[in-house]
Amino acid sequence: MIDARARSPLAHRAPLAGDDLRLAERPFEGLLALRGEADELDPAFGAATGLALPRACRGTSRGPGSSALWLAPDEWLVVTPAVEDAARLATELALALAGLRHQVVDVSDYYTVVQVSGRATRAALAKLVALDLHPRAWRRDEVLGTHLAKAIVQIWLVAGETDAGGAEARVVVRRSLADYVWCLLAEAGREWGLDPQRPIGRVRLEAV
Amino acid sequence: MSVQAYRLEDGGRIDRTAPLTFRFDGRAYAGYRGDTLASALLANGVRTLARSFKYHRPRGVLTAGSEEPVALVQVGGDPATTVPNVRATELELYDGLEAFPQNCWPSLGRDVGVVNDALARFLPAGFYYKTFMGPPLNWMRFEGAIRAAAGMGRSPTAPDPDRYEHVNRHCEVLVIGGGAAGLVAAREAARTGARVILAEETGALGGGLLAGAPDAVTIDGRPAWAWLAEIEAELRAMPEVTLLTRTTGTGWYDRNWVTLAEAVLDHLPPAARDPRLPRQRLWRVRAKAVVLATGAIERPLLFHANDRPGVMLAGAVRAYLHRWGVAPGRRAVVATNNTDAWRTAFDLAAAGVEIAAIVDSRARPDERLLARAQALGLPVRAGSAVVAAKGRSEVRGAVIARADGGGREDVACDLLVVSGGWAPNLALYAQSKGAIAWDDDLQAFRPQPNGAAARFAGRAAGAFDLAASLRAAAVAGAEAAGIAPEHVPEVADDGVAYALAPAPKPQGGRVFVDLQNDVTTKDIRLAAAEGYRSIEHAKRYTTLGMGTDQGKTSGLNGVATLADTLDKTIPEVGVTTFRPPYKPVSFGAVAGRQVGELFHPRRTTAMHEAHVEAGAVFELVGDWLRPRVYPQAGESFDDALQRECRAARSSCAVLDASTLGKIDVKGPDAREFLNRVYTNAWMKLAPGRCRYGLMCNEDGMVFDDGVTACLADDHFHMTTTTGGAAGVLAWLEEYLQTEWPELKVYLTSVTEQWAVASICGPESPKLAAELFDDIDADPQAFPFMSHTSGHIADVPVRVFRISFTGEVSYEINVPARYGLWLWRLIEARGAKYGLTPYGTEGMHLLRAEKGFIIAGQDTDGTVTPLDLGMRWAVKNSADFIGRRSLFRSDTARPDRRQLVGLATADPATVLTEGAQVIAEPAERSGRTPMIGHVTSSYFSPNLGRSIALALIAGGHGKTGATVHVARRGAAPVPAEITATDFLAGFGERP
Repeated sequence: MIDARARSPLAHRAPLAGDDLRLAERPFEGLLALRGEADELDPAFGAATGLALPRACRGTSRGPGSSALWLAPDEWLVVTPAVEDAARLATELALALAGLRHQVVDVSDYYTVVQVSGRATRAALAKLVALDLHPRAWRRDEVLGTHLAKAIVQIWLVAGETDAGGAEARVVVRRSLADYVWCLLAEAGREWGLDPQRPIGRVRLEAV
Repeated sequence: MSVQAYRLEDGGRIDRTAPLTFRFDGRAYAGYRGDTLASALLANGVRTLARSFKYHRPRGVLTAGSEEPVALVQVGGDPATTVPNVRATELELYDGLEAFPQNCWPSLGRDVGVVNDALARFLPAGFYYKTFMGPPLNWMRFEGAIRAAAGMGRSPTAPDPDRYEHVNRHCEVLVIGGGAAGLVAAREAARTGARVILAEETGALGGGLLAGAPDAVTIDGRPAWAWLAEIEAELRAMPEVTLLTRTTGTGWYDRNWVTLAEAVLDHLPPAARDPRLPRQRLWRVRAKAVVLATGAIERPLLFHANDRPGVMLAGAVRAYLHRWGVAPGRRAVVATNNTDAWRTAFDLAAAGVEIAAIVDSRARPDERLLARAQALGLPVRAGSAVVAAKGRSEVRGAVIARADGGGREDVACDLLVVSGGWAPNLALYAQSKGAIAWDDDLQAFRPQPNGAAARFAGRAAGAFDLAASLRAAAVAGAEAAGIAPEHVPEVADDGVAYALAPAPKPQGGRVFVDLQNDVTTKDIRLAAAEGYRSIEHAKRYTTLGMGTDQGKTSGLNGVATLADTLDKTIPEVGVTTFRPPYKPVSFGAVAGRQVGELFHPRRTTAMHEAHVEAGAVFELVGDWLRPRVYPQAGESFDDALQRECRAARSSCAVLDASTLGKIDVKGPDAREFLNRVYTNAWMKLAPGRCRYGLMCNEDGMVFDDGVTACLADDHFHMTTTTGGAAGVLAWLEEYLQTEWPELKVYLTSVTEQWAVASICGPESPKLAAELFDDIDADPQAFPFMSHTSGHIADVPVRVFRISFTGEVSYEINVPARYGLWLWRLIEARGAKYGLTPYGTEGMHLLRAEKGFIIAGQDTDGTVTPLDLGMRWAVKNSADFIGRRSLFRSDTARPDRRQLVGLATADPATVLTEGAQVIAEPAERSGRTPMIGHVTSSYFSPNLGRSIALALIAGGHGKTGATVHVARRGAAPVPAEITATDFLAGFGERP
């Protein structure tokens, strides 16, 4: 249940839909930063989530509930359906990992997730991301750590063109940069009919 | 409207069913869809399009492409969207197009600037530089007149309303150039399934084949144009092939990173431009291999008055005949040193243009060409050259002479077709630092392939016969994709192999080498005589090869002229450096969409909406938007600031402190790690307690500070300055990963996980007590420098009893999703206590009252903890980063600049931050030693006087002394050196 007092970083933005491109926030997903040695973490992590930690660059593990994204050789981002799940998982992992060198930090509020979907998903992202996003280079279930314009993001392809429902990517972005990224994605999507968005950072800077 | 008197009856790739009207120089003309502005004007008999840069000489159309030096026009009259220096030879015609000639006044026909031409001998090469010499006022006096008289188009004066964007792409093979060679190379590469991007500069694929009759050659048994249509269709059907037209390869950077500039909408009338599309795109392509099929550029001939409108390159004339159905004259002289220009003579004759003479500098032209000319009845002057063009404003004739100077004859003509041979277009390749070498047979530089990255197809490879050109293309395309060529096209053409002799040397007169910059052979000789003997120096002295065309048609003639002057060979002189872009790219395309509001991110906190509603004035701190003050209706900035600061000490105030950097430090060695990175001691900080810490660089200079809380023995919550957050985390990670990998510590930024409302002031304990569900807010029970976790209305919170104001404070951290709710709750509950939101300006003032430093304001990378009077924060017990440097003689000397307070003699005078401090009451002229500077300065409402912090030499030993603060244009202000804590002795301070 979502607490009505809680506000997601893009609560002020309505989903956008164009011909071949859609944008929407996935608010209040649970996110955990997990640090440690994969071999040491795996038993506890597996017991808690039923997932194995991805060991390779770009790798992800997806379960029916949670997913784990590889960020670095000793760093993962765990995505859970809701904030409460992340808090619960954090407690569980902290208990199980006591005594092992590790770090579990709830970062559910640190980031939000922007969903980009439709046939133009790759083409729209390619206006802002310098990495190779071609289907041969970026496959389903791969996550890329990169810059989207000037924002550091993780982009995670959760569905490819051949999946039912078409291509869908998720952009994990810091709360403070979410609006900037939203506006840039909308701008990139103009070609496919997305409406232009004006950033909320457009305020008066007044000298004394 | 004039008739298109020079339009051929039929032919050309123009759509004669789509007539267009356009305006040039104030007159209306007709053209067809498919025309360029140049082809349409030539069809209408307009041959003078511009006035030259320096001498205002009439200039026409030399070429049929992007290499055009002089047919430059201003497109559109709107101050926001007008585009200067557009090559008329590239500008695709659309209905309603309006173009203006450049650099002429009052009109193209009657241009008063032409007086410069008569004064030419007073405007030699280097004129610009010479005006700097002699009396220094020369330049000042002449600059305005010179700038007004010389020039090109006008820049837009209003903001650009158009959109531009970037597109990133990766591919296996990038082919630059969409002529036959580029198409063949792309087809070979694409056979493997490789991703192929082909960029063609013009609106149509075909390149040189479009500058010949549709059936001039046959390829694989098909007439040229039919073959083109087939291969284009074949490529378009391949899913991994991207064909881009109106797209120019503009830059080749490290590791095959190539930029392509695409003109998406420029060819359409404004009303027909899809508002969803950008005007232009910059493609940023990372290619595994690049195939250059950039063709060749024809070299003009050098002779007197070779810049007259009506002098045109042979290949261009052929393009106007076949691609646009225009014969640019009635009676032509064709002057050449090679076989290729003869084809232009034959094609002109076939189109009904009278050929007055074919002038070939070679004594023995190819027999087959001679036979063909004879059959067509075309007069030939072998072993001869054109030595002058005749005609006052446009070509009216040519003077032909034999190589020995004899046999001079004047021949009337209105079109003087010239060809000095073709040179592979290697600008992009040279940008990538590719090697080029002189080829004596070609009389041109050709590429020296240096590894797998660059391959060459067609004429860019130096293959000037079509069969060889397409063979090179097939090989280049296939090898770029890592295979052997499969389909090498079979070509049938007229069988005349390309051959040429060195270009004939000019015979004197005014011979233009660089038409765009009005550089003559005489200018180049003068440069050499004055010592500018390197081609790079001669270029800068004469402006040869500069400007919007970057010497595409003039470069080789310039090198040849300098070589001749210095009695060297062309390869001995060499070429100038090629730099991107290959041709002008709009600033809009370079900037893309990251302009205006999207230029740079502005980070917002969870409470942003409340700050906007409260009418906050914001400032940017480390990309964050932070409220600076919250002026109420009718209140000035200063009044608002004073009100906020009074409230903080008299009742209760709240600050959005969310932006402070926060790092979760976890691991069995976390404590040891902190002990090494902070100057003070951390081994005994108990869980539940907080401590202020200073961080130094290796040089012992303070670079950041903050409070760190002990959550558990192996777990800490570190805070940093707002602006330093990213740098501190990177610095700590670097030490962990490179210096102390044995330490078992992990760091994760939690800056944005927590929204922070910091309440302070004497009433804040009451407000806090009201807010907390399960935390005792009593300052005795919940003492200064401690922290705890609990709840506010069941929302989990972490509260730190730390203070940057000196007042009783509660720094309340909530998960950021509750930040806005918390802020509004505090405002609602705090109203009865006089709760006042305060911004960064108030925070700065309040902390200065207490003498707390701001790293980056009171420190500048040259200040040690001891300089700050913070010896108490420097441990003796263990090592830390920067410790060793603190014992250097320089960091230990007593006269270092040290942080002190300053109290002005007049309490109302507020010093200027950054002002220099001197020891004497008056400045001596220019020589007064400076002993320090003011780092922070405010009027303190709580003390009723001005306060300041300053770094002053030996300041710690000078308490009570009077120093003077210099001002511009006024006497220095006397001030007394004080302690930094101005509130010492004022009530209960933690």
